Amino acid sequence: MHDNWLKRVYAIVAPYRGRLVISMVTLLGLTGLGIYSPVWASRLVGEALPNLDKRLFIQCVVYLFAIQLASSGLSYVYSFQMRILGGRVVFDLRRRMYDHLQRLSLGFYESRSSGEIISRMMNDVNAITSLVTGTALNTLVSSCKALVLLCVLYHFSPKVTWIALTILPLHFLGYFFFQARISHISWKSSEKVSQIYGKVSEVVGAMKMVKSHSGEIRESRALITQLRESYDINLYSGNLTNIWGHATSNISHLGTVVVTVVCGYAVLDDGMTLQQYILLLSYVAMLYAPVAELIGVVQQILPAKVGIRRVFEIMDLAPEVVDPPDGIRDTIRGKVEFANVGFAYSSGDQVLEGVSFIANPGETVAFVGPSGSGKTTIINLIARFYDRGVGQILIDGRDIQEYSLRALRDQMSIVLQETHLFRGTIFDNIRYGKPDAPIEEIERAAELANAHEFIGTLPDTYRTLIGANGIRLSGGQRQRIAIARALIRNPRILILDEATSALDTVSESKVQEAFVRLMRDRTTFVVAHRLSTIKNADKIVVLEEGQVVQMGDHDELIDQDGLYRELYDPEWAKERKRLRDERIEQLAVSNITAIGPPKAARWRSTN
Amino acid sequence: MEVDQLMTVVPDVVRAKVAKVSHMEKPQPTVFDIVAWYEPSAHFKYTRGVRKAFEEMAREYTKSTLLLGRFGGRPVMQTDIQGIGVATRVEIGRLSLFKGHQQALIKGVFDMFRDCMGRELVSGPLERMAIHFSKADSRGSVRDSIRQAFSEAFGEECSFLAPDVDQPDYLLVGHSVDYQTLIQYLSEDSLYHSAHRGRIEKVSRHLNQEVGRYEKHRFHVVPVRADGGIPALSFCYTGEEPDRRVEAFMEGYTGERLSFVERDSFQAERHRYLGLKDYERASRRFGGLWILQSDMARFLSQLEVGSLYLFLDEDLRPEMGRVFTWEELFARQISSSRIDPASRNSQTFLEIVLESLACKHFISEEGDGFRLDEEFGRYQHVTFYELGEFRKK
Repeated sequence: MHDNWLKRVYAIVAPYRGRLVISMVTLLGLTGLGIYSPVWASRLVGEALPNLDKRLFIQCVVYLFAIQLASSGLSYVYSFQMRILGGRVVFDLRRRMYDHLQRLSLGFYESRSSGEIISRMMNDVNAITSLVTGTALNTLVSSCKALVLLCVLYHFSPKVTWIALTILPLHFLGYFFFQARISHISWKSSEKVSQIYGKVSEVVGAMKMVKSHSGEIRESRALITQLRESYDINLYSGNLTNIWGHATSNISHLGTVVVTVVCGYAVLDDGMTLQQYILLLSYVAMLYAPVAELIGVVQQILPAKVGIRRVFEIMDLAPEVVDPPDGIRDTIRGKVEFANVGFAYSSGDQVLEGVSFIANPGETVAFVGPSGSGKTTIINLIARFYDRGVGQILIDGRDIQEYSLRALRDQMSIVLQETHLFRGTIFDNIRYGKPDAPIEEIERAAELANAHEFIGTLPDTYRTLIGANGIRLSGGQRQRIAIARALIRNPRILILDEATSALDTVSESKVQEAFVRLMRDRTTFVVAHRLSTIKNADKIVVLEEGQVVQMGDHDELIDQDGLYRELYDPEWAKERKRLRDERIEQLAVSNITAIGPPKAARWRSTN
Repeated sequence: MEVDQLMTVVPDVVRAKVAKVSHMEKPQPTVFDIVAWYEPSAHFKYTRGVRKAFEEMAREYTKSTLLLGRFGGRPVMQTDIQGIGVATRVEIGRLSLFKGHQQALIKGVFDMFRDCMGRELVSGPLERMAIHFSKADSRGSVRDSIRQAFSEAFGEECSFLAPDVDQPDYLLVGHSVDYQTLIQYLSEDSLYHSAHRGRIEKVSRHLNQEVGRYEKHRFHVVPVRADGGIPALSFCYTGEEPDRRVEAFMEGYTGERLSFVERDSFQAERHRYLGLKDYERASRRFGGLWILQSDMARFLSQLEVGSLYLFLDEDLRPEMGRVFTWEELFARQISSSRIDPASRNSQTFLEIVLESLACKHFISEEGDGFRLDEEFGRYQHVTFYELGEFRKK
């Protein structure tokens, strides 16, 4: 985190500096009234009552009541301003953080649990708010208060002031002892809460799996362990804070005792008046109060700093994929060219190496290859979820990184294997692809996606609720809604990533029909394990270990003795391998028999 | 009376003592905070029994807790949820006032980490270890003490990684596998050459596909330096005895001829044989690099590696001692093929990279210019493995 965290927190509060000033003035007023109050209390006890001065007595009582009323009014104004300020800071911070999260690249989401992100957005933001609303102003006011009181006390008695100050170093000792521990325990506490959020969100999301494996008790136990640890951490943290608080209070009491003794002797021996005695004792007690408040502020700052660090840790993350400010926003024709593209994920292993191909507008290009060969990575690069490492990716002859990210993605649609439908009506789900689409267009998209027919049989047709509390749809039906959602965008580039692999044969045939209509006149990229679905592709790119090993149409590739045929016809591949193994085995055996029994020395390295 | 005059009248023994005291440095307290993470396990249960046993063990290793940093002098065990697994973490803080005491103090902590595994109190083997003390990345002598303590406790050498230049107090403990000097990497002038990557990958892929066939043997490469050219590379294997079928299948599927090396001669000349994975990693010409500076590994991103070439001449030799002005470096950056085309004309890019390289001690600022660090020639290209990763390697 940047060192100037206070500056950054101020930047968040800066738009509300007017309210901050009002709050500050109110608080200073409150402090001033607090300091003024003992003057009248001491006059009441030390002057009015001993001298039987009724007028002064009434005056003191009225003033004290007026001070109380004014304090109460200012206190209300202060709390009101703080509530507004706190609410707005929370709102702004969460909005900024959510906006930032939307801009972060996929890599970020792949490395963190949703629970952790939610915890930072909700819990840690609150910590900043408490710092802004409670802590920061209190620090200023307490410091001012302490300074004013010190001056007032010095005015009345320099000797007592010096005596009162002698115990302050003990407070510093307390600070050095506790601050590192409280900071660390606060961090642990936040981490533990994140883990609990993460665990709950993961288990709730996979409840079917948990139940099917009778994992309920086990998951409960796992969470209980985490909750217990969280309890332990909070208990320890609370204890530390408590001990520090009591230590502070006792140090202050020690100071008061010393001053009481010194002033008491002054009254007994040196003729100090009772009024002076009460006044000095009140001011000494009041001097220690802001010191204790400052220590309390530090106790609040330490966990708040952890929250700030955790929030800014996310806010400081730069998106891996950067949107150029003056990026091209033209409508694209759909020509996509990969020129010697290489890519490695942050883990270090190279996933793509020297990949080159051209997809002309309207062509269908399929990627096939064993698992881990880099098919989905190519799709991720086309959609700019990641940026290529080396080489060039051109769209209509211009580098993909020159395009505005939004403009580019607006002209693309992606249908994935796992269809995510949002909780809402079918109408809203299809319209997610184009929020301003009229209902006719939505119905047309559903018809083309072979979904209109089954939607018509649902109780509320397009207004039927799906998702939680809504109707359940089959895999094929969900996939067809996803296709309608893709279709309504009228994309120039269409990406189908294993879009039919989870479907049964009947559903697949309906989805395939929809795909044929969807792919017409668009550049389409298809990733499929079932090779029967990509037979009609204009170009098939065969990948192995991140490299293009074959390229051509189905007829060309099936005639070649290569990976495509191996994948397309596993029986042929198995037979070929068997024959090859036999031949190698024969060669090995014949070599052995020709030269006699195996002698280790024959194959020993001469190195 | 002057001090010198005074010294003439005091006996020698006293004088010696005075001299010793006057030269003695004030002991600076160092607070070491040490954390060990253990491998996660889905079956580990952090039960009352485990807690109790750990508490008992902790009592043996507890020291006075006064002013002992974030973790106190008492060991604490906690768990971290990692997917369906639960990983344990043991934390402890120790204070050292005297330099000579540090090694023993840290060794005690390492012994405890080992003891946790021995008593089966933790979720799995030691996976990661981090150590925190003030100015850790610049206090080589303290790091030496830690290394010696590690060596005594675990019987192996360790190195450190500074994961973040913004956190100079924080180090990860692990192992570095040494490949070549950074200069050799930059000029691709060593036993590791990217020209052989295709062959290495082909053989590795085949080995992964046919695990059963090759499981009795281990496969290595032997690079041999060629004068001024690409080093020659041959493949070999070792095991109980040679297997003609292994050789025939490897040749049939990858085209590579294997030679057998007997175990004894393999062990005797272990340094000649390189693992396939090591060769593959060392010959990569993409991604970032781990560089070992004495005992500290630092990561250089791909962008930073590209910028190091600005300090090399046309024959890819480092221009040691030459001070480059910012303008000279920018002119070189514009025409450099090693730097991403999108960044070549960016002054901000150059500024950011130079700042980062200076922070990591690859270059140093001299007046208004920059020069390669004096130790640059000694920097080693390595792979840094954390403890668990290294064990699985």
